[in-house]
Amino acid sequence: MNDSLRCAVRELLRRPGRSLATLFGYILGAAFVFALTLLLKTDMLVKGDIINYMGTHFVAFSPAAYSGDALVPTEQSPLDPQNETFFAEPMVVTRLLPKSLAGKISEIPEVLAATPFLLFRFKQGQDGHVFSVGGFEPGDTAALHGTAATSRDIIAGAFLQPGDRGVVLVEETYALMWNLKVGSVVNVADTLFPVIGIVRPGVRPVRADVFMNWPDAEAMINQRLSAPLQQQANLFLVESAGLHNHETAMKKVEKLMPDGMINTFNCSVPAIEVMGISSKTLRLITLVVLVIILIYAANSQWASVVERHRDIAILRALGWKTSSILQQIVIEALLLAVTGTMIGMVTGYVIAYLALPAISPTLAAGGALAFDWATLAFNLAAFSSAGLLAGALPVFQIVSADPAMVIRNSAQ
Amino acid sequence: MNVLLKVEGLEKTFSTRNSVTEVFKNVSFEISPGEVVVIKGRSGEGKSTMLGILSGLDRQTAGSVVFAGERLESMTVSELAELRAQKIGMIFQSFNLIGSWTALENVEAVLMHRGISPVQRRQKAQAVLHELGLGERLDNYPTELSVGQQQRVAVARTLVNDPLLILADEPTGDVDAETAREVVELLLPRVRNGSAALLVATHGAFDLNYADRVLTLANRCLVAENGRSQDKGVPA
Ligand SMILES: Nc1ncnc2c1ncn2[C@@H]1O[C@H](COP(=O)(O)OP(=O)(O)OP(=O)(O)O)[C@@H](O)[C@H]1O
Ligand SMILES: [Mg+2]
Repeated sequence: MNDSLRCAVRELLRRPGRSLATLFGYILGAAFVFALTLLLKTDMLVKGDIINYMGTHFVAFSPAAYSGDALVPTEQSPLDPQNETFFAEPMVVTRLLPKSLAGKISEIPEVLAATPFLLFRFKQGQDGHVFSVGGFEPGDTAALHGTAATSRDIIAGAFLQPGDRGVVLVEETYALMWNLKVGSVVNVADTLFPVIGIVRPGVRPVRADVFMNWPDAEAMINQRLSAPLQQQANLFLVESAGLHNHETAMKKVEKLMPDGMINTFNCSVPAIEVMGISSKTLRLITLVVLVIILIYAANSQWASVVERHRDIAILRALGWKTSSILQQIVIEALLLAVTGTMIGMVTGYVIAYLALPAISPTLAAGGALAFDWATLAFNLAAFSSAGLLAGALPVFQIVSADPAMVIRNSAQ
Repeated sequence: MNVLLKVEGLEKTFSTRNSVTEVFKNVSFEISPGEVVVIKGRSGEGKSTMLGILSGLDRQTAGSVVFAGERLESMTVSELAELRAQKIGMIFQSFNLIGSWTALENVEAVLMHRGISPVQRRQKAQAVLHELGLGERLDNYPTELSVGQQQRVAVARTLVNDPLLILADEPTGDVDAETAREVVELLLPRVRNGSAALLVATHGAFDLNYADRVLTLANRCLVAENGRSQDKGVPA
């Protein structure tokens, strides 16, 4: 083994041209694959972050039929339909659906969590401004986190606890507009509610000015309806079970709703597709490069053995075993593959690092290049296997170098 | 004296495509340690073929070769390689030095893959090359050496593993008489002290005065010419 290693190094140094050419092949291939992998991985990581932040949750509802000038919900009707109504987005009036639908939605395998939500627009009795009230189950954090608000969004005071009654949270901009602080009171349907917390939810599919616990919201809304709510909700907030399930989850939920509508940030679907394409392309390119390297390395390794055909026959005549010679040849190939791949990956990292700002200033500004040891280890293993294969291939050449040929070989 | 090499009924035929060449048959002889035996014969009589078989590089068609108590025909290729590495030294008709290796590396090659430390190996090879007067040419490649020097490198390579049997194919072929004698003088001490036997194949250039026995290959048979001890070379 030691002797094989020593001889391998000696032979590689003896043929610097050939060794460098093969080494260069590995460097080029590894640098290319590694740089490409790093850039695509960085790209995917950033996209994944964006999609995870705004794409794996959605709001489902059933829009109300549009009749004439007024938007009329079909069931319990608001007393003041011009100003007060159930809605999803500012212009979209919704119907009421059984609250229990949330349970059915949760049962879909592609859904992580679902929670019912009441979103109602009130007209304030004193000054006549309209504002929205969201009624929710504050314990359903998994479903609320990306869609409405959770305790993480609190900027002052405390978040609503499931048992709290007669208190509210207000959204930051609404609080600023009406100069509300923790301890101030808001008037909802002529009832006064102390503010216990102020939230800043950021960009979410559901926005309310005032958040209440479900029973409070239900009671206040009932005061403004022709008939009381009967275990009903107008929105369902859903969190999909991961990016890859997002699309299916949306389709299945939509089917559960009469005239279902899904509100989400739609960038996720095309982005998911693009990401799928990138990772498949990456795998394909890596494979192609590997095959090219393998052919290239095998060819040069084969040639180096053919070149030494006579030498090998002499060594065998001197008593070297085929296995010793094969071992040496394989070590030669592996040494080239491993050093070439390592140098190549360092080069690839530098290239990717330098190229990132040119390709995408946003990504470059977004921070460090994605670097994972798994990719590094995978590339090293893949290229080394190529080297190993390239080195083992000439075994037939070695065996065919018949030591008996040196008996009569007169060519010096 | 015990027998080092015992050859009995040796026969070799080459089958090439559609022709069959019978090189020799029914060849028998013995060699003991300390002996110098010459196989004489005209070109093409099969001297090189014979040495090839005795060194385990080639296989005979029939007959048996027993070397140092081991039957060559029942050994595997790698066992034969081991045997060559340990106990047999060969000087080929063309020296068969490795062109891209230095004189020292060529000699060291014999000691590789045998668990000998690089330092020991180097010292041994250097010592033999010094002994053969090549102390100054250790790092030269074969092409940088004269034919006589190349021949001495080949001799060094043969002697470096302290062989029991030295097989020399036309060792004095391409050099002047003086150099030829030097080469033989270099080989002889190992034989004379009884640690090895020397078998030389030649078509006549080798000085037969060095020989204890001369065997002649002619007409596919081996005949004893002038030997002190009566040998078993029997005409067919
Ligand atoms: N591989 C082979 N296939 C067929 N015939 C062969 C082969 N090798 C040798 N021969 C034949 O065997 C015979 C003996 O060859 P060999 O080389 O042993 O002769 P030699 O006595 O050493 O001759 P020289 O003195 O010229 O070296 C020759 O006729 C040769 O043509
Ligand atoms: Mg010959």
